Amino acid sequence: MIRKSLLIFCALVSFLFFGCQSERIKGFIVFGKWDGVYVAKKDDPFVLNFILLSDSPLTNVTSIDFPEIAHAIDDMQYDLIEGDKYKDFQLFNIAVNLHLKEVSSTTISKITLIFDQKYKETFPIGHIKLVVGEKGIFTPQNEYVTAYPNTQFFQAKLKNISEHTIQIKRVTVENSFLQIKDIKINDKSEKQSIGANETINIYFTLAEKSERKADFYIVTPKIEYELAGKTSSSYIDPVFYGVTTLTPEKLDDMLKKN
Amino acid sequence: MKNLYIFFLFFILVFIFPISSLAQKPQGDDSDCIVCGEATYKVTKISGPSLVTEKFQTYLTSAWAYSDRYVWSETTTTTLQITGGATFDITEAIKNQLNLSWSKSKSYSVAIQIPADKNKYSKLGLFGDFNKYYVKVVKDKFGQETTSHHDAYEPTSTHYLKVVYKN
Repeated sequence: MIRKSLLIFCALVSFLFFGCQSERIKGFIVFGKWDGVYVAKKDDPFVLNFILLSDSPLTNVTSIDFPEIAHAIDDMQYDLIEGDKYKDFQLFNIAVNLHLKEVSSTTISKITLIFDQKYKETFPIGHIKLVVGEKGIFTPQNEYVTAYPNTQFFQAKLKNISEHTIQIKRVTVENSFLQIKDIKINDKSEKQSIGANETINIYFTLAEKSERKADFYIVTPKIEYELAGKTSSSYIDPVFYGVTTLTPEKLDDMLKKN
Repeated sequence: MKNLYIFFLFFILVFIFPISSLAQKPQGDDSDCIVCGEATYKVTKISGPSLVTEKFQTYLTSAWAYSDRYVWSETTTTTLQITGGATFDITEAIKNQLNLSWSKSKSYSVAIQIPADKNKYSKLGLFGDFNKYYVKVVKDKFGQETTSHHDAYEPTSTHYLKVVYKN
């Protein structure tokens, strides 16, 4: 009886000790929320940024993980980058380069931080859909904006690198919270005939669908086209929105959503 | 006697002429001033502001490279740009008299990484939105006026990171 009580007592003490220590080590951490659709070409890494605010220096973070896709990760490197201070918090970016195994599409919504190689804590990061795509028929020319300050518009000069004349049918984005409007190709409507090696100017505006919104967006525009009576699609290179404008309002929003 | 004349002429040519040439005032803005001093500038806005989007500011990486990503870790800053060969004094006069911002940095920063096409030569560039003004500057130096015209690009806090491809 005494032995049993002692065992229960020890178990209780251990639970309290380790539980409290884990909490003490972690402190307060909040991640910015993403609404992302990221299509990368086969063999290209997914180049991701996870921006967070923490009240501790995170010196005891020893590794990271994405529990939903752990089985699908072929190779991953990350850097924990310290940024400016904001109020009582420190800005960080966990910059991740990710290669997936033979998976065509998956979604991440959580990131796990491992502290001192022992304690784990999982945090929501919004949703990022990762898609391994084929090489498209449109390639950026000259300059390509990869980081826009906010979700106002998208514009790019693209070259049709196929050997065929195609008929553009539709331009879309697959983000949950974003919709596109006012699509223009060469300052005209989106339904255009584009010759082989022809360069086009594409422009559209972006708007949030509802009051629900993310802190940061990854947008991979998709062009649907017709070639010899067959409909196909091609993704344009992904672009980031919002990561270069970390205003006090945005950082306060991140803190409030926690 | 003849030799003395030749020697005298030689002396004048070799020594006195170059010294008197050196003593001449340098050509330039102040060459004709009697009482030298500061010029005054009067700046008049002819048109503006009009928004100019995605104007090039600077390259953030130095060499062309085949890179699959770029990491930008410093605060990005765009600065006031004046065209038309504006001197420092003219730039200062435009900035002060039109009350324009000298530079705009983004609020808080942490390094971010952005993807690039590794199959193409590229660089990372900083671009920004600017308020454009067309201005007339009249420089007055003791009644002598010279007029010049300039485009002044005032920075805003809207910045873009672009991967610039060498085609």
